[in-house]
Amino acid sequence: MNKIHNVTIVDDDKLFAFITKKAIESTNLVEQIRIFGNGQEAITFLIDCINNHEPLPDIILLDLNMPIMDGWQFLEEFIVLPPRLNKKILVYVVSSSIAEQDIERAKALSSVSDFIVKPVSKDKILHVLKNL
Amino acid sequence: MGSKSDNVELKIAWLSKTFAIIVFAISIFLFVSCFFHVSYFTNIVHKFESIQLNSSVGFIFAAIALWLLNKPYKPMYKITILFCGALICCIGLFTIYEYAKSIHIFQILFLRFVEKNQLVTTTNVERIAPLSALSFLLLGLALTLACFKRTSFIYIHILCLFIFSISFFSLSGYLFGLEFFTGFLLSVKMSIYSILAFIVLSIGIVLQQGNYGIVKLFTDIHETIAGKIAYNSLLIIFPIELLLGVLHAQAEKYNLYGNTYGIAIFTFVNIAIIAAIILWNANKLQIEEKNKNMVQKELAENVLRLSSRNSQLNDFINIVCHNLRGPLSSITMITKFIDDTENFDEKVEMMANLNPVAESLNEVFNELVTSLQIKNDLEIESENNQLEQCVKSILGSMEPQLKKTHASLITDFSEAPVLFYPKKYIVSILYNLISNALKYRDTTKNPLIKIIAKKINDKVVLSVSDNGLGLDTKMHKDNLFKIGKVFHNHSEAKGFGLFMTRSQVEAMGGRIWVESSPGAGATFFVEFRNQNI
Repeated sequence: MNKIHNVTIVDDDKLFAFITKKAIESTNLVEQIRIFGNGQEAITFLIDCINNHEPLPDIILLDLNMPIMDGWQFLEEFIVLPPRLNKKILVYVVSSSIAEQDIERAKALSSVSDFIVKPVSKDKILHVLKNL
Repeated sequence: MGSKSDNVELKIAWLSKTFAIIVFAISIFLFVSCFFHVSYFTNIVHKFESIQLNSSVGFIFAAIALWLLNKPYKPMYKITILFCGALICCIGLFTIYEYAKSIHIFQILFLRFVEKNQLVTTTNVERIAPLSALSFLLLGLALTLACFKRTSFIYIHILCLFIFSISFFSLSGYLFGLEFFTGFLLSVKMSIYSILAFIVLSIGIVLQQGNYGIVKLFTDIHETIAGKIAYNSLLIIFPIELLLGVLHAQAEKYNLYGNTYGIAIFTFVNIAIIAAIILWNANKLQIEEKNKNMVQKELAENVLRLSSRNSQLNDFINIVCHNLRGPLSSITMITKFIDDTENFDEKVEMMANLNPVAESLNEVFNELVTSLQIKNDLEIESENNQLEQCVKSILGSMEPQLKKTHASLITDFSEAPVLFYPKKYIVSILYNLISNALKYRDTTKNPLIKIIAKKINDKVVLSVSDNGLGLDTKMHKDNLFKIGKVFHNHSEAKGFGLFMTRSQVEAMGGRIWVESSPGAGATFFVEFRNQNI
């Protein structure tokens, strides 16, 4: 299996980001992991990538409840990003929410690959990475 | 409901059948009376026309048809009904033809029939009154249409209404001695029996059609005000008019008063009766409308209360799903990580992370409990609060913060010095708005906070404005007052303040909103209802 170049975690919970990063690193499947504390930072990064022709992430793990720009607002901006050079970015919503309305709303969006409920186990991460 | 409406349908059908039997019995009796020329029976009321033999035959067939219409469907019945209908139509048509050509078809037929069978009778068959002939034609049509299931009840109702009107018209003519009415269309009047038979038959056919249209108005009396009014008015107007007519006829018979005088009296009485009925119904409608308005108002209030409760419930779900589950899942992940890692230093590092998570869980839980304890306006008592004093008491506890940030505060409560509200809530609302203004200050300036109360009709609008960081209201419009929503990267921000404030405002039926843009400060407005004090 080829190595995945880039996974991006967007979550204001530093602890979650840290643990998830550790878990991803331990799989040895990913070259680079980036962490952003809210949607705004992540969007800025993506736009920069496009403008500077830098490689875009393969997978984005997106939290919903974040300050400044939350997951929903991120998804709205994400859809209207300029053309992404034929690159498919898989977005997984990773939230502690178990509310049916959140899950349905996320799954209804074509840009969202799946909804993952926290806590996230190592198996689940492996599953996501191998799904690419 | 089902059994009730079934009951109504059964009653209607029973009535229709009974009418058929009554008409049948009387018609047979009249037929015999006519045949043997018993004028005592055929012409029962003074000055009235006597019934004709051919009319009584028509009514016998009509009664049979109505009876069969009320029976469960059988092809045989349908043929019979069609036959009766056609025959009745023919009676009507032939009579009209008789008048048009000035001949006596029925008389000739009858005489031939009597001769041929060598019957003994002294009676003769005259032409049926023109209005009766028209009624027969309509009656036959109505019966024929009624035996087809697909016919809309509306056509049959219209036909029956015509028959009923013609008869009632003639009856009124008789009772009030109006020659113009009774002599309308040539000079031959309808006989009183025909009038009554047509009235009963037309009602019978309408009833047979089931619980629709006109019938529905009467059966609906307990459900709609319109039904009640139609029922009462019609049931009063018809008998009263008839009673008046009988009285009038009697009075005339004994020459109690002159004709003009009588007409004047009856016109006046009629107007009085109709006016009384209108007033009575208007009064009833008015009462009903008042009740309705009251119920609607209550309903609107309940809807408001319910929707506020519902939004509280949604907030609660939100808190549980995001703010409570967040720290919980963090704890799970930390313990799992500690379990999995071999590195002792990492274990210790993770252990240190547990405490803040547990603390945050505790905090969220406490906030949740507090927010659930916010009561709505029915459950909590309001009092008159001097706004000046409220602000003073808050500033007392915020003294150190104000000094540290070099903040200055301007208040203007001249328009609305007093606010009728639960004291706990108004203090909490002011505290949250002022501390927000300080928390999100622009560190390059000295904070300036303005608190102004304005009175608009029976509402008081309190505004708290600052010269702080401001926020993008367009971007955050959905989330502004929701729990755990933070709009700045700020260590103190937890996202409870505005949620709590909104809950305390909305529980009392008020509103909260904000005007702001990044860098330009923010103004929060709170609208309080029912402030006419």
